[in-house]
Amino acid sequence: MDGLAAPVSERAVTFGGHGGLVGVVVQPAQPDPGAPCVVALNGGILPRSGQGRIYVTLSRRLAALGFRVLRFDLSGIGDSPSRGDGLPPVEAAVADLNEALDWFAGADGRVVLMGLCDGATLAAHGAATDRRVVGAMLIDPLIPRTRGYRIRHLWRRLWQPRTWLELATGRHPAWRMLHARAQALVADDDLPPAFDPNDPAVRAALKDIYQGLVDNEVETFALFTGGMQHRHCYREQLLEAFPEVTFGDRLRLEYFAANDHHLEWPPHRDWLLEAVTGWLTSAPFRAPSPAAVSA
Amino acid sequence: MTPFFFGEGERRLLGVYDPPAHGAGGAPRAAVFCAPWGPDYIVAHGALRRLAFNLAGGGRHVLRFDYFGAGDSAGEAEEADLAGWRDDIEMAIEELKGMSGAPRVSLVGMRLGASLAAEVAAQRMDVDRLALWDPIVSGRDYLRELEADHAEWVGERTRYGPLAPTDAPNRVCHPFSRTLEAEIAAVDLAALAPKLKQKILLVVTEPRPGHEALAAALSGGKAGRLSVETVADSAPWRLNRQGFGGPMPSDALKRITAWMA
Repeated sequence: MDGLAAPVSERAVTFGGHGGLVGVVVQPAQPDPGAPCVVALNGGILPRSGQGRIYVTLSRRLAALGFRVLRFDLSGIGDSPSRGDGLPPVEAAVADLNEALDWFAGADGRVVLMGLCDGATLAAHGAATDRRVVGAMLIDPLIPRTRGYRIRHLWRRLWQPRTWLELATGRHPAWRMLHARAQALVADDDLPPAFDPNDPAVRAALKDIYQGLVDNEVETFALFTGGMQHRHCYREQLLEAFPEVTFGDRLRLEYFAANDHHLEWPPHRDWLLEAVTGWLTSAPFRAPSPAAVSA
Repeated sequence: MTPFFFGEGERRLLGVYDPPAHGAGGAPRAAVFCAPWGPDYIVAHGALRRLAFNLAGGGRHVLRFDYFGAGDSAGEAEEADLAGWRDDIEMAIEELKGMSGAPRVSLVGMRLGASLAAEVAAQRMDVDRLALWDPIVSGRDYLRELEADHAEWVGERTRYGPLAPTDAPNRVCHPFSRTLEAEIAAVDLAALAPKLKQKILLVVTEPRPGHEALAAALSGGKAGRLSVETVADSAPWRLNRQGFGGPMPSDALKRITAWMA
């Protein structure tokens, strides 16, 4: 598989309290006993294979290197039906993740969580709260905008001739946004306010998550892409968004400037595969802890 | 719902089996889903899962599966070809017949999967019904659509900077070999129509010029053989940038479920 010499095996599984979480376990022929297992989370509402099957390719590569990998669908996504217990979406996702860790890693396993976009934020949350998680690969997780973001974002736009051309010809996204706002006013819709990561409550929750990564001694690879420029646009934004969090040397921080949130363009994909495998095989994940599982 | 791998050797395919929700009287009935290609499949996955659930609720054994090199199945996307995917459909038919005991199956296909389903159905005596959802009628037209989608993708991603050059042939980032391109170019569903003997449902959520000609060719002047449903739902395979996949095409699902009952 994937042109790799070391064979891997793949098994379709169902698990979870309601038996409805669907996933695929990729098992190495020669497991590395010192390697943590890897759990890949859905990117947004994409099925578990990921955009362009990135999780399939990645999990096969990792299994060839000795890692056990689970990719699965959160309830309501891909093949996993809704939980049916009435939990709100965020709480349901957290419950799904806990069930996946219990099933795949057991009580004293060591896990690296991997996620993109909403999946990255969920992975960060899990990594911050569960002692079994020793690593987190986060692609475009949610962070607040900073002053540095606003200056850079505006500066770059102002220097683009395309911005002026599109503004002059009415094709710029800002016109569409204004049009939508005007329509909402006319329609007198009682719409909820747009989600804002700079909302004080959201920011505080995010700060707790990132502080949790530090407190839980989680090796973290945070990768931000230029495909989410409405949210972030430079490498140090995470650090400046939370100056009160001392990330230390457990954090690897990258800004991938290309406008490709899913890293699906072939050269970007190749870069991602190399970067993730390089990080996973070299990061000094902490040893198993006697008090492995948080309450 | 049971996910499992089936097939032999290196061509192991991921299938998801939905058993009938109740023991229907008479012979068991079964349906195999033929998924669309690449980006269409990712977006339409939820609608297809829902349709499978509905059909199982109506008493059918249902098997969805991923082609070789697609979804969770073995192989790499670069290795995919339509000849192999037709073999995969045949393998899925045999698998479901074995699981269900049904002597015949229905095929439900979407976009390129609908075209493949029709090609397989034309060669078999055990396919009793064929539901074609926004089928690709002309492979050449489809290639032009993919070119346009690809150009739009690249245009959006190069608004503020270039993309790294690549020599990996792809459409919207999905590997696209010369073999696959030539095979898609050869798709001509209207020409295949006279060979199809099954009852056929043509579901159109995003009309194309070829659909009318296809309907005429499929009906073949025989009353009752072809049903055509033009539905106002959003096409489930069309990416909705706000909702990613958009709302569930509930009317289309209802009509397909009713026709299959």
